Amino acid sequence: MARKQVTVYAVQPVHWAYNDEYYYREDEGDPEGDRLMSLKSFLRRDRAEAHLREAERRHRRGLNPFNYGGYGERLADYGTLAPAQFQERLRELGLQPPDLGRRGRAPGHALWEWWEQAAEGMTAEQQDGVWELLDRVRFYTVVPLQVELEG
Amino acid sequence: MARKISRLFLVERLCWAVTGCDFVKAIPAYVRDVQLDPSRKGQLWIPLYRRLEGAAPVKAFLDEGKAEACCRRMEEEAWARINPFRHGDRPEQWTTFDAGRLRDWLLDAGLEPPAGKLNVKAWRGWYDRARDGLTELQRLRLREALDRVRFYQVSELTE
Repeated sequence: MARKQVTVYAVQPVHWAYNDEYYYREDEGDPEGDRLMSLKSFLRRDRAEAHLREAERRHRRGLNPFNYGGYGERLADYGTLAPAQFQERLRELGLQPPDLGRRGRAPGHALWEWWEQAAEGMTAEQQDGVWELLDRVRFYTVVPLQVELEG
Repeated sequence: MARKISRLFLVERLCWAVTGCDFVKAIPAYVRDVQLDPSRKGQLWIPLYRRLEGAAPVKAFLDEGKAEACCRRMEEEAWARINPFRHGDRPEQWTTFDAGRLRDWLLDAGLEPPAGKLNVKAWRGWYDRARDGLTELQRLRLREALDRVRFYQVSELTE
């Protein structure tokens, strides 16, 4: 007889490793290893996602998002928005966007430097807003897990 | 039709990471995770662990009592093969007691832990030697005292 299972939604950390230049994502997990440890599990996905947003906000404090995923010179390393869209959304947040080439290039670590200079003058909401635009830089993820259920 | 679940008790395995190793000459029979050191012939080592944030779901229950019973059983199984003093490298990682109270608690349980200023390595060696002679009650009292060395927990999940 098939065993009963239940789905729980686990908030799990995304693993970043440092290569002496920047942090890169380590997505290959050992199924038995520590890297798949959940921060917290929930019965509903929306509750897990709310917990994830709070955990992301706490983790981001004091970090430069352009340290995660590349050299700070190519927008596509950090998010999926087109360069013009990214700049437009920054203006909507009340921020002066960095100069970007048509393909989202900003040579000489310019994105990293832009954050270093702009972040100090940003409100917490503006900082959160920028992080939200950079959808490849995430520290947590919600994973549905099948768990054996006993009565 | 599947019944909607509004309350669940999850037995979770807590996260311990290897942070170093204890070189030993003789292997206590109960130790499972002993390794051969490839760089030194005949040298053996036992991993040292530190608790990290996080837990992995193992089993779910609708009944809290059954979840707690499962958690206790798994906790006992985990303790059968470990030296709790290798799970953490400072007394405050083992217990909420201070060093003096920990020692008094164990003396009251009829045990004879190392005397003097707490030396982590001495306590690890003491447990390796004493472990097989412990009564069930002494094991229980030791586990009560080392309340930060835990491998499983029950979490309640609600809608």
